[in-house]
Amino acid sequence: MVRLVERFAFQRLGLYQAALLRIGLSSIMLTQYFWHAGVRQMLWGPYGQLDYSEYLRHSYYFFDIYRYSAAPQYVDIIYWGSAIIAAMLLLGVFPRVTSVAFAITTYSLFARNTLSTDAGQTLLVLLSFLLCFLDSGRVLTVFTTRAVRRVPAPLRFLRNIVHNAALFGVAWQVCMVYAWAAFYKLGGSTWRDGTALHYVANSTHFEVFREVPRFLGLHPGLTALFTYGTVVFQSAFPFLMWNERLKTWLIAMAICLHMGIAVTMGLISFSATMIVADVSLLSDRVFRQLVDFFASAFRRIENIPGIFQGESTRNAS
Amino acid sequence: MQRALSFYSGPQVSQSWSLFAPDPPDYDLRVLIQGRTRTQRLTSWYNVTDYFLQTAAGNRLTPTRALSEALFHSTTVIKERTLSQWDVAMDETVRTSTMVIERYVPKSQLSAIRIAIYSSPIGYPAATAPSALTLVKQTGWRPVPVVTLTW
Repeated sequence: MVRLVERFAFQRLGLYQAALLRIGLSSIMLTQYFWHAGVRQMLWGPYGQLDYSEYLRHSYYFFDIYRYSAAPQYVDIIYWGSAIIAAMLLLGVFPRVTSVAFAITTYSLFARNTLSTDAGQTLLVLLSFLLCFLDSGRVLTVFTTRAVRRVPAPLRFLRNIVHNAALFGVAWQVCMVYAWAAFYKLGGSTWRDGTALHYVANSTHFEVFREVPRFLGLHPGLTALFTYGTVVFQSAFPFLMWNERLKTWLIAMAICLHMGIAVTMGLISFSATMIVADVSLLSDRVFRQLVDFFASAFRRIENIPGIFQGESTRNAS
Repeated sequence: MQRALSFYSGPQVSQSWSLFAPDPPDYDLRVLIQGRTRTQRLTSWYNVTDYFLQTAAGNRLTPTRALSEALFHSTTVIKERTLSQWDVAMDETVRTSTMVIERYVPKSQLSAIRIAIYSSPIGYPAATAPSALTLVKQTGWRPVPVVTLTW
């Protein structure tokens, strides 16, 4: 217990996890900004899907920045400004400041048209608020951070605790998603009789490949297996996640599940957010193994004749 | 203070992760829109939902997918009679439908529009579903809202 408190106060845990969360969330948002650039006024503009006055009736917070003007040009400025902030955060430029700006702009964008969002975007907003409290700019940044200033010990402890608590908050938040999703499903008759995925697959809104509902229609046993598998997985995740040995396998399964959802249901940004959230839960040991693996793979590529060697020979001569 | 506390229960960040729960919808919803011209002529009914589905079938990564996502959620709110979001859902459905009819009929010719939402059941097995459509909601004639039209 004492060791746990010591670790919590004396060192910042999961710096790679925090950095990956920063990179993942900002990449998703940057992709969103460019992907929806052509329809931005229709989605978030004053003459878009939701009338400006109707939006104002449901906008309460001062940091909801789209509320301050009904001019389409204002939306453009905020929109592209938000994209620049996401790019800066991705590169790790002043992450302490840009993460706060990123959380505000992300929240504001999705709050402008709540009905166009899915659960993934809600999770993205929540994680971006937690990101503000994380020390996410220590590693994996393009710009090297300045020399570490001497910080008084009490302040250092406080900052460590805030960072570690936020990291725990991320894990807690992801567990909440799985736990509630499973809890609500247990109350549904189609999840209990094993047919729920049949309805999802046959909904025209989620149809990406017509072959998927046809295939599942021919194999009702498989539909039941996937339906029960989803409920069992979501119920087990919040409990087994805290076991170091099982965690890696659980996260690998979660990544496969969400990649499947992205491909078969077209919920790309939802799946990407869930994958980023899942990956940020990996333990330090797995991260070190991954870093070592990529480093050795990179060295192997370096040693292949003609890839980097020619370059270095030229430079040497 | 109350506002700060209500932040976590607001529509944007609520912690109700009911992903396809308690049950996924066992119906498909279709939105149709009809216009009345300045010469009092009625246009045909245009299928708004199919317009977005066909666009998505032509390009899996179309950004209009987000527009149809809003239409899907809005019509589900209307079908399920979720009163807290009813006004927003109606506004979004009417405005999104107007964006589609203006692709076929110039705005200058339209004097009013009305929309109809139909549902069709998803059967188990799929072949057992009756093909009949049920009217969920039909609005009266409304003035044409001003909408952005760029895609």
